[in-house]
Amino acid sequence: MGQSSTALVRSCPRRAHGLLLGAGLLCLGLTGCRDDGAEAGMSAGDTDDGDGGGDDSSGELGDVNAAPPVLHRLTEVQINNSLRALFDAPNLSGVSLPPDFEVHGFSNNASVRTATPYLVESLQRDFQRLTGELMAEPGAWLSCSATGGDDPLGCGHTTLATLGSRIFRRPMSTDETQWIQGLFDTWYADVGFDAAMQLSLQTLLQSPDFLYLVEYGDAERAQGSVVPLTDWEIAARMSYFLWNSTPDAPLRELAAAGSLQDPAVVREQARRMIRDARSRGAVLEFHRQWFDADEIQNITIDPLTYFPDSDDEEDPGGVIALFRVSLEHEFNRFILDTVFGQGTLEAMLSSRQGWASDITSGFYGVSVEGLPGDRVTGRFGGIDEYELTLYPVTFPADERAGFLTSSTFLASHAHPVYPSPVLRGVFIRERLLCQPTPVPPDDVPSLDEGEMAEPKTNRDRYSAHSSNPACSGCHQAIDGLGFPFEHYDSMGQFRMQDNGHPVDGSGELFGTDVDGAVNGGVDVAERLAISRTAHDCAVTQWYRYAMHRDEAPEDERAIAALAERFWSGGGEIPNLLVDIVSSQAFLTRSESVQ
Amino acid sequence: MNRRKFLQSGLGGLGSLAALGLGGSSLLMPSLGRNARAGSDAPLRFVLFYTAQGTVPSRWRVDPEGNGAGNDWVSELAGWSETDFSPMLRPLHAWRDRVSVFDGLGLVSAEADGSGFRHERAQAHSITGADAVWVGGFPYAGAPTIDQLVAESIARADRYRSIELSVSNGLAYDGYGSVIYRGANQALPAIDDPRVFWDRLFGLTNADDPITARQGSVMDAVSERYASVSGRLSAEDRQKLEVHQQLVRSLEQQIVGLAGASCGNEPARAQQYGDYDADFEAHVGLMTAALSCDLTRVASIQMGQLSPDQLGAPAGDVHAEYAHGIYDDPAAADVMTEYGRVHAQHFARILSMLDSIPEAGGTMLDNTVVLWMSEMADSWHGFDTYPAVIAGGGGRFRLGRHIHYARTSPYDGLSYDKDNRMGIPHQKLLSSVLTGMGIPTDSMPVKSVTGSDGSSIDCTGTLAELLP
Repeated sequence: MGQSSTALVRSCPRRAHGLLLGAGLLCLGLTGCRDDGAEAGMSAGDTDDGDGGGDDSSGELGDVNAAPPVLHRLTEVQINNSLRALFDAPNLSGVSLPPDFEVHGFSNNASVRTATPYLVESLQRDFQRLTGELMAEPGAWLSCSATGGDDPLGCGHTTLATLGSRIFRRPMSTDETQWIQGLFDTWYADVGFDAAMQLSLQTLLQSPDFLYLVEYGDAERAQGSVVPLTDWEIAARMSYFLWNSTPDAPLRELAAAGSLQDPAVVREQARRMIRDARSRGAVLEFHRQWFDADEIQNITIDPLTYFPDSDDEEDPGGVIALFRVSLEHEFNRFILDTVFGQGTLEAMLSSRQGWASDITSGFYGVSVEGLPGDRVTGRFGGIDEYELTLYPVTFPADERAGFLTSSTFLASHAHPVYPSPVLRGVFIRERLLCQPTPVPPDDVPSLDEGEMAEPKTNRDRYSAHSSNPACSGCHQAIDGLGFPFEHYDSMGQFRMQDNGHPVDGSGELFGTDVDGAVNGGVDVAERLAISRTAHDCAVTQWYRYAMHRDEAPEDERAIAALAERFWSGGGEIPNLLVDIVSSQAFLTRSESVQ
Repeated sequence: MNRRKFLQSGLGGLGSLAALGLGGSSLLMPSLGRNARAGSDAPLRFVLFYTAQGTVPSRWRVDPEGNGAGNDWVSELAGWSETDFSPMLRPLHAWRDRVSVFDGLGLVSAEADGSGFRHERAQAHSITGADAVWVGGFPYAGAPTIDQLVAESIARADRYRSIELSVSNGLAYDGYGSVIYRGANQALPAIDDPRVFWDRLFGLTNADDPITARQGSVMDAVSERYASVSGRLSAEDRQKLEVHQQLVRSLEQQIVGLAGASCGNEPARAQQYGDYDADFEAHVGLMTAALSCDLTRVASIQMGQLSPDQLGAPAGDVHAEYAHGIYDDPAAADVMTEYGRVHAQHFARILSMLDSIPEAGGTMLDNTVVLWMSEMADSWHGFDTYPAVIAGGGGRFRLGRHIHYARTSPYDGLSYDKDNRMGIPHQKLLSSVLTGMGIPTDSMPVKSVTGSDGSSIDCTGTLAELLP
């Protein structure tokens, strides 16, 4: 089943030229359109191959404007990565901040991250603790011993001048240098070298120059309301987007030399940064938020239904806790394998390769016997140790295809006992198609089962939505995407029967370039994998994340230009990231007209 | 089960407070009560208890004296037997002289503010009395919530302005994950993990530490830096940094104040996190300690969705499978009645914890106003027959009363019985609570709503039945 639908769709010349919309749909009707080689999908537009060679210009991205930026405050992970890099202290404990509110799943949306009392208090407290840790065992960043050596004042001054510029991500001005050195002098006279260093570092780390991506741009080169960023500001934007961390030495050298004004240099650096291991955490963070992957930690699982043999189900170390943690590891590996392997959105939505553990392989119906296992250890909530063995597996082609058929998605969009076609459908609509679901009407009728004798299947229970005229308009769009996943229960187990009755996995896609009848989750996933609508949406999501805000009407052309290149280039995610950082939207500020 | 064990061993049980050293008068911070009532040394505090899913009106409403739903009336709870109490509120029978119960308020302004998003609209209106702000097509609270308004007036500048707590991640429907707002579209995050709460309250370094003692001068320097950076930014960016700078300034006082505060025997730090009842118990224990030591004067607890096993119901999803069916399905109404009753038990638990601390000739409950509010009026998405309970405050409010209002607001909202009127605007309750707290308030942001018949529905004024 999977084979025919895969080949059918893959072999369509969807990426050949500009004539793209509707290609997938057209294809569905053509029975001859199959089996002429899997290469068709990958043949066109692969000029940016990730090696930095070939035609690597930003092309039409160069002159497209964007909406005014919003001031971004570093996230918890960005602060902690920065601290570890600045002080070369990989084991530094880090700050722990109040949670950020999510917008479209993204917790880096600057519009809602106004500072709160608890945040400011947490920063103060944690930096006080961390600077204590740092001075207890200072590294090479301190140009003398922890007691100040022979020339404590000189050491303090040198250290703060050097480190200050690193912390502020740009050379400090003379005034700024004198400011922090003056504070140090006062504290040194008062409480001695060690404490004065701690207090000075606390001051630098709580400054807006560290905590916020403060950008003034280069006003002298402004063209109308478009102000080019300085090299230092570009370096900071790039490194926090691609690494969630502060710029490294090569990037700083280029910034100091003024080289980052050249988009070709920016692209070359972006490729280098994506190849660097530090991009893995940042890429993963994006996908965790986009795909709501952490939701698996919060859902309620009904043990009587799904873990009947276990009596320690929710204990730390119990089987449900392990199930959650296993899915987390599997998701992380799958995303990283995909982005840094084949690299395409198509692979993310249709690959049969993935990971399973002893805990999850049963749910997936795959055998891990004889496979080379990869042992991972960790701690639940940082306390109780666990150990898991993960296996690289090939999932049955007619049951699984990419992220949408993983338990990470399926189980976190389900109720404790019954899967939820609504939650699944809404997720796909909003996150993968960027088509927000209209709100339910004021008067939501309850799912009245009175007219229908005892519902036979889960689908029957939900079908009331579609048959009630008050609900059917929206629910067709939602359920048409959700019902095909009825082949998966609340844990994501594949099933042909529900409550003793055959599963009806038929559905329908609306509002995309691949509209039409679908049957089963694999069919939906493979259809979306080659959908222009889904590719465009992925670009919008990355754009939201990169710019720390929702898209605005002024961003339309910037996003369209990125989307066109993403699609015509075969949907390669690393290339999209290079395009984003070298786009005008990323390299300039559009100041709002006052 | 783990939960039971934990309750017995941890902070659970009424007796454990004394064991934790919270019961002794040595803990009390004398003469801090600038805002306290005359004759009392203790400061005034405020606790907001916020639950989701409203009520089952027929299981909330009772009328043992036969006064009639169509009339306004007050009945003294002192004469009520336990079975006179409605099934949902029976856990409050023991507290009948310390609580007043409302029946017949309406979220009229929420009904009039846009369409769809009923959970979100109710949430935004219920504890602000203000219209929602619509951001990207979604409604968020458009003004400070009542606890923040109270904090504005009674919080000490040198202590925590307010404490936001949640159990099982609360049940905010607006997507931000917290129902408490400092201002329009400015939600405040809540602490869900009691261990994190403990660390915040008691993980402080001591004041004698030279670095702690100099945090004031660090804050000065940081604040100066914010001022010099923000001067060069665009208006929007500057505003953000100004908020941050202002918070840095307030923090300066808080650090000094907290470093000097002593709380005597601290409650133990919880060992675990993630069990609904155990987390609630630990939160309430720590909150009680924080209030009694004057580490803060304002706290809120937002309660997450109860699970079927807490309600004695078959496994499933409470919201999807029961909440909507309260009018059509007696079994669903039973489950949701139990839902309300369990929360009434939680509410009673807060009262008993506060009441276990002797203070200024009475107990801490006499100096703490505890308000129970919800998002919607009922879980069928209705906005009428909005439930509320107020407790404590030692004479600031007329307690021991069941206060019923007839439907008199000519607004034809969504109602199961198709009545074209609603109860009296809930803004009057919010104004009354603030007034009773010593913050004279005649109106909330929404002052009137245009009724379905074109008349103006007055949302101003206070409730004479509640205020002495």
